[in-house]
Amino acid sequence: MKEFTGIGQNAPHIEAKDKVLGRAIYAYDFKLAGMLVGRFLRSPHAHAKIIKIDTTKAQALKGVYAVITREDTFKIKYGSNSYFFPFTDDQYPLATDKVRYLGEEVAAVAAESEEIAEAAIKLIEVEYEVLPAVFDAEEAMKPGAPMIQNKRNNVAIMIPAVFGDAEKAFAESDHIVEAEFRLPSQAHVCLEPHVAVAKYEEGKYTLWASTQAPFRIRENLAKTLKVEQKDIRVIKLQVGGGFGGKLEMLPLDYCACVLAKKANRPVKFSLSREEEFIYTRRKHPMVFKLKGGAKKDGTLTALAGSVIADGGAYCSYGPTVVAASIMRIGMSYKFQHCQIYGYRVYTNNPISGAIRGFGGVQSGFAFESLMDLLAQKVGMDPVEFHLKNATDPNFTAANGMEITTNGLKDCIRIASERINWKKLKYEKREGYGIGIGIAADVMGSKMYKSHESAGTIIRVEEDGSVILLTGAADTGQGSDTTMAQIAAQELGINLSRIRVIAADTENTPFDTGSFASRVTFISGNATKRAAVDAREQIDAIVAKKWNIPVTQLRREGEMIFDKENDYNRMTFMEAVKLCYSFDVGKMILGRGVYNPPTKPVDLRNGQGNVSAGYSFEAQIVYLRVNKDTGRVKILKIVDAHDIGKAINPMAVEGQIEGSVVMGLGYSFYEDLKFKDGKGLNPNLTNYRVPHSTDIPQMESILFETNDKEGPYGAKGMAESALLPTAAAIANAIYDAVGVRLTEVPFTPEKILKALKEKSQAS
Amino acid sequence: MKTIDIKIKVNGVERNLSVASNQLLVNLLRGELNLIGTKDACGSGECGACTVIVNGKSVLSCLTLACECDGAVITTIEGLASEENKLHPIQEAFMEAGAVQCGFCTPGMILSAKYLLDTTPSPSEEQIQEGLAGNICRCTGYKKIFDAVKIAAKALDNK
Amino acid sequence: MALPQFDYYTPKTVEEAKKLVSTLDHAEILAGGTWLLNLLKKSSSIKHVISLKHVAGLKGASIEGDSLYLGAAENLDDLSRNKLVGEHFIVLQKAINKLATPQIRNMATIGGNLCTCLPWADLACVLLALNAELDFAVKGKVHCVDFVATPKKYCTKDILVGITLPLAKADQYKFLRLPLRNETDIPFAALCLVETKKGKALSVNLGNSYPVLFNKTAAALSDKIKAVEAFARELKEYQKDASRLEIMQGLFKEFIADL
Repeated sequence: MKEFTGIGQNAPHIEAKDKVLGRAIYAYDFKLAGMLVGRFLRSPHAHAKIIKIDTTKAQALKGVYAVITREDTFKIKYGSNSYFFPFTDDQYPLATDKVRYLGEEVAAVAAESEEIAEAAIKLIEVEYEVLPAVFDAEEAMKPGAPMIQNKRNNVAIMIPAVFGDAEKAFAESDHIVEAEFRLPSQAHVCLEPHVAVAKYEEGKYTLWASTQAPFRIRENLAKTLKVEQKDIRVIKLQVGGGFGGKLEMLPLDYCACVLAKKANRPVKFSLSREEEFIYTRRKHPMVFKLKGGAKKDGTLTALAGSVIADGGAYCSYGPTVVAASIMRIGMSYKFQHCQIYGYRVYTNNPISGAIRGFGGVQSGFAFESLMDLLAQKVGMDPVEFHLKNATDPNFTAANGMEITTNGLKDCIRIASERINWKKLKYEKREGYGIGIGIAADVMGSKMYKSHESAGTIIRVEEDGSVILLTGAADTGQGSDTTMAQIAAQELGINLSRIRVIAADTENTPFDTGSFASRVTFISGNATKRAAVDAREQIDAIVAKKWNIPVTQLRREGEMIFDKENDYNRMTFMEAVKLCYSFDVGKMILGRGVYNPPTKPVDLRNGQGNVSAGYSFEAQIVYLRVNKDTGRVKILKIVDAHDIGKAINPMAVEGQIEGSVVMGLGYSFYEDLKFKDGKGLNPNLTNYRVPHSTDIPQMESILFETNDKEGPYGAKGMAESALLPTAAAIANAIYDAVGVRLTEVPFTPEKILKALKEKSQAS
Repeated sequence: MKTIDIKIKVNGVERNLSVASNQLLVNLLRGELNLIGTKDACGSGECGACTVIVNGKSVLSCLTLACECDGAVITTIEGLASEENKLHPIQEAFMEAGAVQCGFCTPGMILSAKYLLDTTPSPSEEQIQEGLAGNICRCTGYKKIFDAVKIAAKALDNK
Repeated sequence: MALPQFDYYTPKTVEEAKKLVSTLDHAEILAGGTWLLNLLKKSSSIKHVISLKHVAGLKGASIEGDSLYLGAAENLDDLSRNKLVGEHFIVLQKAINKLATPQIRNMATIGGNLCTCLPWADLACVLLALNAELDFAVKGKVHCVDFVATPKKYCTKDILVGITLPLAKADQYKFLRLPLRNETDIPFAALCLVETKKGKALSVNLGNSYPVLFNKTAAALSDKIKAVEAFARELKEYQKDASRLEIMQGLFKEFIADL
């Protein structure tokens, strides 16, 4: 394999060799001597007061080392969104006053084996006073509904997106459409379950967790354990997928720590697949009621409506998810008038939290379907309609988002040309249809903390090894590799010289975590600054030796050259040796921090600039519907993506392909069902994720707009490709057979029913 | 509790072990033998992450009793490369094609790919999709995994 | 998910196995194990596991007179590659290749697929169309038609030893499976057509109950329009779940489209 792999080159992940050899260590594999097995006692009720807990019998069981309940906690609430949304820290690490969802953690044990832990759980006696429960968000908002968290109408938060004068704009519109869209829940289905291994030693807690955000966990552990952050160390090992489900402290992180201290032995929690499905986090089910207006020339005039999100029993990232679901539209379309209200509602269902897309998948389906309906009403080709209304470069959206580089229109054109939109749309074949959806993504969203910093330190060792310390959490998306590529680029060295140490709260700089598609942009910028810093230190020394200005140096193939004198050349190794030589004696340590410039969101109207860059895409789906069986065959998907600059094109494609397939899953197969708060399909047979046999022909096209703020022009994009997929498919189904599906997943039953209703109506 | 003596050959090494009747092969591999590459990600044979090769066939170790493996020849992911710096062509191909993201499905996926290529050396696109149908990947969308299998098929063909 | 503690037996002959299965309570047979292991993980009531691994006489595929005989413990993957099966009953190989996943096929046995008595099992549907006869250790020979009516009655406290498929030169074989409901891997339905000089056999896997021969529809197959009508009528007799009727009729239309 050819080395170097700096910017713009395909680079296999630097830890891929460990993974193919089977020697990569995940928290799932992590073992400590004397480690005990942790297990939860979960509530059998969806809503109940906890009257009494008796753990005597469990504690007496041979092989049980510790049992904990609310009495072993400081009864301090925590959450994930309280900086911008005060009073949303609403969860105790172990149920304290009430249980609010079926399966909520009430007690935990640490025992010598799985069998003993499971037996001990059965011996814990809990007395409950069962309370009436509510499982539907719209029902929960009605007066008289059971009160879950002391919030009026069970509304945790209402977020408005209100600007301009929507009423007036609708009055002046030539066409108006109204529609309702229903989105179910979805599960992350990370292959590696949630795992937490804790030990308590020398007055310090150490936690090895399968996490996307070790610093977030540290923060909340410090809060709930009442210790300082320096007395907690959270370490991320390899992570088998996150997708938003591992973005915060969960009860297992907290309980592993408390049990480890009480038992005086390390404790490991590893959740079962069933627990993963229904007792961790899930996607917010949402109901959108939307209204859109347009002029007869196709100009989008106004948007209005509401979204009601079923948040489950606690807030988690809910407020940001709902905010994102109504704010995203401003990135994609030019419109000045808006009146949309988002409600994040408490129910006695399991907790809804962050999942790839952060509300953008649900809203992507609703809004992109609505746009298709508007285009139909106006009588305009959907591609033309999108081109007419899409945002431009250097454009400030009506909701305050400051868009700089913007390849949206280019992507719409490229995608439609690549798939031959005109031919497939207008040379009609029975049962075949084509549809488009567009989307935009942020890179960071300073919505949970006063800053969103990332930091990187680069150590150039005496032997020419480079150790890169970054807070960024690689969960398989390839951030370790991207950081290393940036360092390789700046320092002009082969990628294999670099070892990345990441996401260890004691040893690496701070980083908020892998979410909001922020890592390449934010952590990448910090890394670039550190790499430039290290390079400049070396440059100064080499330039001094050759008695030339630093601007006369160039790098290639692990060599440093004098641009104007061919005799002046040295290898990277020689340069490093020079730095550490007796006369120079300088240890090379590069450092960089980056906090993106943004403007806070005004929660009175939903306006603000959450990100310092925005990425864009257009996705077109071509499919065929079998009207007899209701089955849909996807023939081709084309995704054209403005990614700023592809630091690792192969990894960027991998994110697009993985996202599209997750979007296909939500469109056709995935529906995490609950009845009376109980999960109905918490297994992989009845909650079906896409398998290899479900993959259609997909093409991703990378379009580079070279963003000034992003490292080497790169922008974040990891969440975006699943945002428009469901709508593009629904739009294509409409094009094929004339039925408009307003609910996912698109099952054969739904399609046949819609076809029947259509033929009965005509 | 009574234990059962078994003789198994794992990655070329003969082992004499005593196992409980209810011990799963995946736990024997990950526990006593400390071969942690094989993962038990669902416990019910639905995800394929626990795939190992037993007597030449790819099987689910989370649905296999250790005691049923007496006399068996087993290959786990750790047994594929001949030495650390000499990876199996399938392992090389997975790295080269970008088919490894989080990597949790990778050991099982590679062994399923091995069984596919052992029985169908030049698989079509459809045969590749069918051959990997028992292994779930949540990260890659499978496309680069298919690319990797094609690269590996060519490389094995050239040997 | 700790498995319960159980006693493990490795009989060497059918007689030994027969004795164990007749005398032990809370006992299960272990062939491929893909179904049993999931059962063990969920239930703590199984006390004995009888492995068929070393039992002589349960494997093999051979022509015996005018039939093909398959040992019940024959591995599904091996059967899918077996020359004799491919020569005479390719439809069986087609059905096997659509079943579950490669790993499950590598572990599972044809006998096991029948004896789990799952209503949606495809192979029973195919064997029905092939006019198969099943041979049980205790109860003796049972025709497939009788087996699929009450499979549990035959499988309880007994061991399936072999399957006999009468050879008949087939003019046409077709197998179509609605591969999945969208949300689950359990097959929604399957259709199997076997046409020989003796006539046409159309077997239908209803998905939610045991397979049935649709003899009236089979008789009407030469006229596609009449066949669709006959199928709709016969389907109403057997398929109790009204929500499945429309999709199954659509499946049938697809099935006969290129006959």
